[in-house]
Amino acid sequence: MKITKAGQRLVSIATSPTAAVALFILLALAIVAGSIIPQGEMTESLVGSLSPRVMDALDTFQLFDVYHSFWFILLVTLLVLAVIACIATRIGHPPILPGGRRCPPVPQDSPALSTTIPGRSACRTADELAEIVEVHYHTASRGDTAQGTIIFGRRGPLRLISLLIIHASVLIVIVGMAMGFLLGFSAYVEIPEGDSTDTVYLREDPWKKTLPFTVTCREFSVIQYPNGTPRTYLSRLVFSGKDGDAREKTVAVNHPVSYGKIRFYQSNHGTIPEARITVTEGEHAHVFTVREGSMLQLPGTEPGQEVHILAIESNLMNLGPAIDVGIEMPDEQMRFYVFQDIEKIKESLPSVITETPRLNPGRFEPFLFQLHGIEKRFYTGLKLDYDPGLFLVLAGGLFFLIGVAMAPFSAFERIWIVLRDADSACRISVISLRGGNPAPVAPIVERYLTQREGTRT
Amino acid sequence: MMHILILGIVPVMYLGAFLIIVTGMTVKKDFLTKIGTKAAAVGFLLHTAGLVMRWVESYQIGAGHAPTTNLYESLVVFIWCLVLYDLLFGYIRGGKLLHFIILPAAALGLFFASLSGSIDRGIQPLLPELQNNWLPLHVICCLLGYAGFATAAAFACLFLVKKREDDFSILSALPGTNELISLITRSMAAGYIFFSAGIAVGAVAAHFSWGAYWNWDPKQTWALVTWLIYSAALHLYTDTRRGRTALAYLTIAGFAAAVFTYVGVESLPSLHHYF
Repeated sequence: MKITKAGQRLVSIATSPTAAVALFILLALAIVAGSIIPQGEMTESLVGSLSPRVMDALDTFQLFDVYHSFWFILLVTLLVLAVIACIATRIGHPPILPGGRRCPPVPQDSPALSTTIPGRSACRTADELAEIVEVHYHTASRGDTAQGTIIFGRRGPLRLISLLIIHASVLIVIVGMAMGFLLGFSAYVEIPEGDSTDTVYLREDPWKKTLPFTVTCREFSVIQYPNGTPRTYLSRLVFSGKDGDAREKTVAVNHPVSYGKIRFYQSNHGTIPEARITVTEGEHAHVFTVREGSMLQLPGTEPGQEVHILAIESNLMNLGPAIDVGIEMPDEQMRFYVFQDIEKIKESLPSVITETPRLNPGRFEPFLFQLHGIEKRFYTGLKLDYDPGLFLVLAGGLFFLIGVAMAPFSAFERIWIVLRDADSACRISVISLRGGNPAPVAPIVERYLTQREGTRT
Repeated sequence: MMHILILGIVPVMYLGAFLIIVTGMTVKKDFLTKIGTKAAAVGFLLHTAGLVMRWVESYQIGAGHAPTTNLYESLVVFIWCLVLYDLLFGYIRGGKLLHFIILPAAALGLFFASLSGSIDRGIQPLLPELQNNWLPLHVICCLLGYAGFATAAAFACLFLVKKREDDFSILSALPGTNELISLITRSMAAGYIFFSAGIAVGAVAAHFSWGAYWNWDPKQTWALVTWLIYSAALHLYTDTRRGRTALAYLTIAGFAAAVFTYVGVESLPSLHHYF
């Protein structure tokens, strides 16, 4: 494929160290902004402390969501393109074998050592120097150009490979992260001991996700050190697939388990209050176990008449355990408390029930609510993660480390020796680079020149 | 608590070594400089012994973990890494230059760690989330990285001073600017390798511990900032005066970011709330 001059210029800019430095610094500044300015939901903390105009300006530049902003994605995209260009140019310049056909252009900006060997022809000197370079450099080439005869040598191909690995690994990591971001998901779920669920909660729209299997928390336990501080948390989970497959696995902190390509992590734990209540209607009594947020459809009630358990309190208004009940009816809403010690309250405050309907457990006629007790149940908090790019990120990270570990042990040296005839002498310029930086001329070449040279500049 | 006693003696050794080296340099007695360097090496061995004893003791009391889990331990390990760089550079390059900066800094750091009332020096059992086999490796790699960056920053400061005041008599004893640039590049490269490994291993630890290898947590974020600055510095060509000066400034900026990553982000809400 032929690249136009403009394209070559673009590739040259993209692969230049200056572009790399600029991109790294810009990305660093963007990340600093992201760590200093509250992001996402945390933005609310700034309301009131900053003027609306400043808030608008920050919002316009997407500074409240730096890592998803168009300019941050643009910077990462530019980095990816620069890395691709670096890889392409490195692959596009395969090592030149001894006697190879191609000789890279002589760097114009690098300092050159200039000397002359009197009474020698460029051709003879070139023959001798080419032999030295071929022996002492891994790859060598020779060519005749308008500048004169050029001998090029390169050693340290491992360096080239290490740089290639480093750049490719950065690309692999970014691709892996993008795959995780676009195709993966992360969710949370809290499952009380003995309960099952196939619904998990996401942190963004659509907020909920139904799993193709059910997770049951068979048991949650805390392992303690002898002094009583927690050592680890364990959840015995049962995964039941739609095909009847059921597998029991134990998840612990730092020891995730996988099922159906989804990893489950022990994230948190706690207790939730559960209340045992009886709802009596005449001679019929119905017993329920309810939690905060539970919804009941009482027998005999019309559709749309729902009982909601709004809260379960261990000591409400210093009157003991109680539940807060809300009744939803098509044309009316009702709310009242059901105290466990209602009889004692009636004894000490005889008129309170009639005077305060909110304290009347029989307010929703003809039903009478009774609270028998509140118990606490352990729940396990699980984090779920599905990341199809994880393997790429891990592989990229590993390759990067291999690349950076190889680099210091594989110096990449290049030498250009330009020879031409001038006034019955051979005029020689030597450019030696180590990495991208000027380096002393290899001792073997230096010795050859010092033994024969006339004047050096 | 024998290790506390030993780790209390180590800063005295480092300070003594520093004073002997300074005296040797001042009166131009080479044997004093050699004695000072050997005293620093003995201090380093004691330092190592103190850390190993603390590690063993943690198993004896049932806590059972590497000394990398709180601020005291991380400071002691960080200073150990710093002195390791100092001695290695001194041994490989034959220079005494770093002793002037590293040894007093190491002594002060250890005095602070050993005497500060705000630092808990006890060995505590690990929280469940810290019981991760990748974590000690993550901490040690990061601390070796920080130490490399600190060494590079020290050389960068000397380069900037030397560049301006080349004729100043004391500074004429320092290596030339070319040698200093080479030392900056080497120590920075060493720090970069370890720090990159620290970030990678930390990502693996986070994957097992938090269920995500990257959380944009402030400590992770600032580690990335530090890594980006040094990535930029490693791309600089040092064949021009401007390039060399830029390298020195970026090295110092990178170290400032590293210091903030190490201790500064404590002021921000972070999942790394342990130290």
